[in-house]
Amino acid sequence: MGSSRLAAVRLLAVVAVAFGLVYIGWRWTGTVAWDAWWIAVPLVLAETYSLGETVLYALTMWNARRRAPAPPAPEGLSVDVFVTTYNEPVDLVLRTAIAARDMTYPHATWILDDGNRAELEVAASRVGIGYITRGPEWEGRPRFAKAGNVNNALFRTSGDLVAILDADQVPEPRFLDRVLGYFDDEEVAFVQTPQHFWNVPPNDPLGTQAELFYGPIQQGKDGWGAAFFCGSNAVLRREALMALGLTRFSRDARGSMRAALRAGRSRLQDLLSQLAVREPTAMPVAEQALAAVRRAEGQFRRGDVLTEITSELRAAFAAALAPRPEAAPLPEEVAGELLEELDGVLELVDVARTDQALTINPLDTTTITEDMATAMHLHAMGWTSVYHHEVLVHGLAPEDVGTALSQRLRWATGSMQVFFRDNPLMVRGLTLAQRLMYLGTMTSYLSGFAALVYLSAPVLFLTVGIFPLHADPTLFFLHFIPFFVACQLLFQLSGRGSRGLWRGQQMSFALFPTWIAATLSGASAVFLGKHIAFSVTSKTKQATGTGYRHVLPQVVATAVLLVASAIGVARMLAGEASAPATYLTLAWVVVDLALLSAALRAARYTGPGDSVVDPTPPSVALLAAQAVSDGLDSNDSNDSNGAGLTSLLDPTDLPLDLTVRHAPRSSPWPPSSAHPTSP
Amino acid sequence: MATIVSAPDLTLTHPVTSIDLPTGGRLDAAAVLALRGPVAAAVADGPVLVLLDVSGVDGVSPSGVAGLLDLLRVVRSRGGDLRFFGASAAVRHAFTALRLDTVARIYGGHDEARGLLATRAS
Repeated sequence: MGSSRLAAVRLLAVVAVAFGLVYIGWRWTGTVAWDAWWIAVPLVLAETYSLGETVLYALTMWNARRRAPAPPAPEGLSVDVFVTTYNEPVDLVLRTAIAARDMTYPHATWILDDGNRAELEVAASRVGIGYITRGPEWEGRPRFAKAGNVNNALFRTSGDLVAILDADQVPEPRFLDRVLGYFDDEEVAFVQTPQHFWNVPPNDPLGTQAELFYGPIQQGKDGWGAAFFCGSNAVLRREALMALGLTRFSRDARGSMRAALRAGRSRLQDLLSQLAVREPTAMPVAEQALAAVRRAEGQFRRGDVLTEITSELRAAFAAALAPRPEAAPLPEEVAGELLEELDGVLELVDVARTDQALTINPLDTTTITEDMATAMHLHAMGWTSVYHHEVLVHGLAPEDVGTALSQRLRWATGSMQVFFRDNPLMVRGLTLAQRLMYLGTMTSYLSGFAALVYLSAPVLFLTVGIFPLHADPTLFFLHFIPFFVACQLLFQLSGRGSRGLWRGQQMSFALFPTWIAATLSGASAVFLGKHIAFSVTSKTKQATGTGYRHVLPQVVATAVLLVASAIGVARMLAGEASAPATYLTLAWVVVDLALLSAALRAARYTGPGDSVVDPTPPSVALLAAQAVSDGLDSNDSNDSNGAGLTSLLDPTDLPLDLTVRHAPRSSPWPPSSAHPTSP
Repeated sequence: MATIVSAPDLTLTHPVTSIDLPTGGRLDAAAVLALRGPVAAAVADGPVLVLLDVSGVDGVSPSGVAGLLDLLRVVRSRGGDLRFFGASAAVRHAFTALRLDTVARIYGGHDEARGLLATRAS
């Protein structure tokens, strides 16, 4: 944003907030219809919330500016590029991976396949791309979806920098050259670039092209040092991620062990009482083990080193289980059960987290929107971030309303999880501006509740004549119109150059059921411990994804508004309701309907058809298709073999480590640091 | 407070292996990645006490420390243990800065790490 436009935006921001404060002050001090408090108070609260969002938006725009161009990428940086996938079509993943492989700056490309597909593995090896999957240590452990996928790969690679691309996000060859220069600044932890979707038609019925967010909003947050990491199209500094993971680990280590020792002690006490009834001869073993746990708790209280506490506990358990010369041996199943119980306790207690697949989790695993939480904690540690406003990657947006809604639901739920568990106002280390920037995005999802009020208030007046505020209409317009106009001007001016501003406003209102569901889901996950499943957004159009059934609440709301309007007009004509109030309310209804209509249009959308062109170069597409068919061929011929791996490699080359199936060809740095199985 | 601290004794039950850090003096992502293969091979057949001499380390990065802790998990999940020993200011400083000194100990020498010295001070 140029400096004159920024000055105008700042002026408008002050004006809009000033008018807003006047309006809300006037509303609270004399217009609340206390006799109808049950609708009047929610309404004024909703309006206050909207003012709050306006203030946060104004703050975001306050520092929105375009950065100076990045310095040229320095030579000699080692970069790992991760293409994450779970169940996306193999062809799609390969196109992205090949485009990533062909980026001009020297790097190593890896496909991180959470779906462990043999044909993808073969195809990747054909085109010289590394392939990483989850090894046996993940069996039976929580997998943490994409965060776990990336964390797993982080411990099998060694590049200074890590670029993360979703399976559908195809990078341009110059992607790395354009952003690596920012890392000259030692404090930069990550650089985020925009997400741009090539399969979205100009009118964007699903509201997926987020030009306001990947534009003025991110630039605004960047101006305050709070540009978000958005999960893809970004480059991160490995050491920053590892430092974050280590900080979390050491902070939680003592607390976890204390809780684990206590839990272990209860388990053993339970076991002891069970054995007293079932198998009294086994009791001495359990008693010895219990005594060992008590000793461990004592060592813990004295501040002993945690690894040594676990070592001694393990040794004590082994001694307890050792057969005694003077007693008869225990029956086999009892011995087996005891061993299992004691192993279970040890796993829980061990500070090295032997109950998990990874000791350190660099990317945050506590929420399904791991990117925002990770970015927030990096900022809290003092790292800085950069938003680079240049489209360098082209991705796929959902093509049907069902998929689009489930994607929004995931982002919203994850954000609300962070809001409830790890509120930015409470996290130590963030600046005030950073806190407000994070809060701005999270609180925007509370608009679902405000929308409910904005929908029910007019309906109530039109049908039963209860007006939620006591005010002279002229006075109302005098207060409201300046605020409204100033807000719209601010919005238009700050967002100029971004398309989809109206669509964005529509979606923010019309998706109120999604926002409400996300808020309730996030709250129940944090406060009630309900587990939230990570649903991967489908990258192919779903036949069942279109249709009004996905937007039923919005359809019902539209119908109710229309019926209420008819009733309201009838009442006015019959003299039961005042004309000015009715006209005012009808205008309100028109606005509501205009906003809701976006949901109905989205439900009818069946895909972009011919209006969009796939930008993937034909050579890449052809190569991908060839590699896929190679993969499928060899997979078929190896069906009897299970994983086609053994027939492709000389048996003596079989890696002990089943996580990295093969390294990328022509890695830029020496094999010993890139290939974990080399001597 | 005694100056010699000996590790809990595992040697009676487990074989002992020493692993060398790759040369270069840096404990970073590449170094711990190079260690994965040898460590995995050492514990492939069962519980082993793995000893790592860090005295030659003059530069430590967070990836290096995180990688070491993950290797600790790998070894312990097989019933063994991984212990570091050697006087390296860089490693000591890193552990203190990351508040890991109460989590894991860097032993003075090979014998202490093996738990051979009888006196165990608290």
